[in-house]
Amino acid sequence: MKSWRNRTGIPLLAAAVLLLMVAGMFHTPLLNARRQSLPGLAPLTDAPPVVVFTTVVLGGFRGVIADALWLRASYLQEDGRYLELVQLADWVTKLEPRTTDIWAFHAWNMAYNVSVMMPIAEDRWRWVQQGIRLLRDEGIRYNPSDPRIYHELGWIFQHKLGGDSDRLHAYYKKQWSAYVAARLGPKGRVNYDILAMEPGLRDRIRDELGLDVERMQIVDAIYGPLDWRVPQSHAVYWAYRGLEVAGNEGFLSCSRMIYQSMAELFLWGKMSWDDKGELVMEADKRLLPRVFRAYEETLSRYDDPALHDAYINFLAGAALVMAEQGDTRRSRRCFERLHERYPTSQTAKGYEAFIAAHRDQ
Amino acid sequence: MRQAVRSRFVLCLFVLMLSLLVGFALTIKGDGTAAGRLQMLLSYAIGAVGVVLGMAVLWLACGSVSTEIENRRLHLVLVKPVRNVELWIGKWLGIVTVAMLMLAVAGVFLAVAGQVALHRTVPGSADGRAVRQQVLLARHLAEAVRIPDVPGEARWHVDCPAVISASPAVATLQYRFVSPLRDLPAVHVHWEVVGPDGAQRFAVDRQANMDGVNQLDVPVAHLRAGERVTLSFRVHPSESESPQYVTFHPDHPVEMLIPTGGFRANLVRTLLLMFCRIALLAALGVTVGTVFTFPVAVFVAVSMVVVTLFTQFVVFSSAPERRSEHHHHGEEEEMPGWVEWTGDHLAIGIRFVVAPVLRYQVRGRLAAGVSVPWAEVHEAAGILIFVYGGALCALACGALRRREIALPV
Repeated sequence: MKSWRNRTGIPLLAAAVLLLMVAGMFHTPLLNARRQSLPGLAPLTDAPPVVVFTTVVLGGFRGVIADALWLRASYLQEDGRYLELVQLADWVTKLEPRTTDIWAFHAWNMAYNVSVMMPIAEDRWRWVQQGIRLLRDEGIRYNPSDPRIYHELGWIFQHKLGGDSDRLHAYYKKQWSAYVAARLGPKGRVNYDILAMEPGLRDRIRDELGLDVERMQIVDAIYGPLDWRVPQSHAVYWAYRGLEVAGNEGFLSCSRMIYQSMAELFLWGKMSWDDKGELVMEADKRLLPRVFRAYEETLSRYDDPALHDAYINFLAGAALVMAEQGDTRRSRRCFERLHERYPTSQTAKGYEAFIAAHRDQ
Repeated sequence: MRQAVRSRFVLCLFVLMLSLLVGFALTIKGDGTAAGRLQMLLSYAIGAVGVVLGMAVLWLACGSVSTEIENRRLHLVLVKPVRNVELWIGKWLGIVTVAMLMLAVAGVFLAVAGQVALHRTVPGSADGRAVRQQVLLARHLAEAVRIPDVPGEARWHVDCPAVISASPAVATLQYRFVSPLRDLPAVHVHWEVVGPDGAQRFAVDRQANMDGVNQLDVPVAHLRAGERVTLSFRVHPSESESPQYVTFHPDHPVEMLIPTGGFRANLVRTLLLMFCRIALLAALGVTVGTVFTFPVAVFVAVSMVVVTLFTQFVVFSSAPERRSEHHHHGEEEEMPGWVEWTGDHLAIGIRFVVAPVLRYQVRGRLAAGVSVPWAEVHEAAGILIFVYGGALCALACGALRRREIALPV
């Protein structure tokens, strides 16, 4: 027995080493092929050690663990025990850091589902912020080239904070406004010349608001002047970032988010508080040309009939709202653009008849 | 014990446990609040220590007798005037001493973590209050018992514990509603605490959320130790959009958490309860190790633990009385077939054996500030160590007597 081992042991060992070397020769070409065909599966480059460890060491098993953690999260949520959810979401996303849907789900879950379970406004706001942070501070870090993650983040700003579907939306707006004002100044406007000379402040804006000052300046130049205290301004910023990474292919959801948010900023994006501390939202009329631009950019980029309907609705609605606010000049401008681009029998009757007809409706 | 120390088992276990605890302390995020982080740390640390220590003890116990039989070291002992029961107890005591040592280390770590949280939070702040009033204390969990309503009012009885601590000064009432839709407007409610003499002790109007868990602070000054108080609830009619009536959640009863003592004493009791469970695992391991050789013994013991844990999902959910709950009224009950009859009685038998083992749950209670009473610790020690441990010891002694050890080869 011993002699057989001696006879066969060394050749077997040599064969094993040889086979390993041959396998190693295929390693680099395989990695390159994977990078080209599956760019989403490229190795993580700047991830923290814990994430690299879990993704490499656990290999395929991490999917099973992620499922188990997800099941626990669902069970706890159903049972009204929300304490662990942030932790579990953190672990699940770290186990599958390149799956955008997982980031999107957990952020949405915290910002939308869990937040409304909280009886106290402060707690609700904390959960909405957890959702924002998960995407902004971590999700984007691991998926910087996926426009969907920017869209998901923008959606929380546009809909959860900027919209009125949540009973406490005014509270969120107030909190967000105060948070931004503490960093950008009471008016929520940015003086980029001053900012250029203060690297500390730029870093603070990047760390605490997730905003890159150079890109803010570009967004402000294209769509502004934006009041960064208003959540929709951030929706525009994140959608713009999404379009940036989408490149020439574009990403309709982000383009749509830009024109929708711009329309909302124009119609009720001027935020203030009355003497009783109640939120007052007014039209930010300066933004009208920028809204036109946002719509027309999108129309020129995508071939989707629904986009024309959206533009028609905006122009008609804006004409009416401006007329009701006594701003005939802007109201006429909206109407003229509507008639110019989408002439109908209704618009052919002229501005006054159009407004009168729509007002009756 | 000596063998465990010699083989560096204790050192490895100590390092593993400490790494786990420190790892949790450094990485756990919680829900963004100090109280949440502390609760998560306590919950995960207790869970991890239980699992790691349980597995290690099972492994050590399985090997303690079986490897000694295998390498014939036990033969040297058995030829001396040592009774089988003394041998078994000696092995078991050595292992549980290691476990006790490890639990003490974990206990010191968690006590320090609690102290750090206490110092890092400002007493008056929301976070500081949550740490002090919801985590770092022991509270008796009193489930409210629904009693017949009076018109417009829902009522419950709550039995206060024999001891009520004056610090913190509030008990917490928890309740949930069934909400047909998400994010409905808050409902205006009125709560009262009525003493046994019918006198109103405490009354409060407040807004309650239709979703999630509502909590109400009730000053403990209005509660007396050992008495039964009545909780009374009604919805205030409102002209706003808020609901005019509510339904209490059937799966989440109204509960009152009444402070009874401090965190450290509760931590000690929790660790003792864990110790009882681990001592049972040690007993199981030593006994299985007397029957099987080393790796087989571990597989058998682990399988028994896994099967026991699974029975709570299989046997308990398919027990005969659970099924009878699902029978509709007015339907004729069919006579069970022999397969069903056997299955039912087997389930009842398994449950009879397994239920006491699964009764003493630890995880989550310390983190939620729920007290583990001394009575429960005593009961667990009696049942898990003396009854089950004794039965396993008797089995092992019987097996050792039947095995032909120390005979000439």
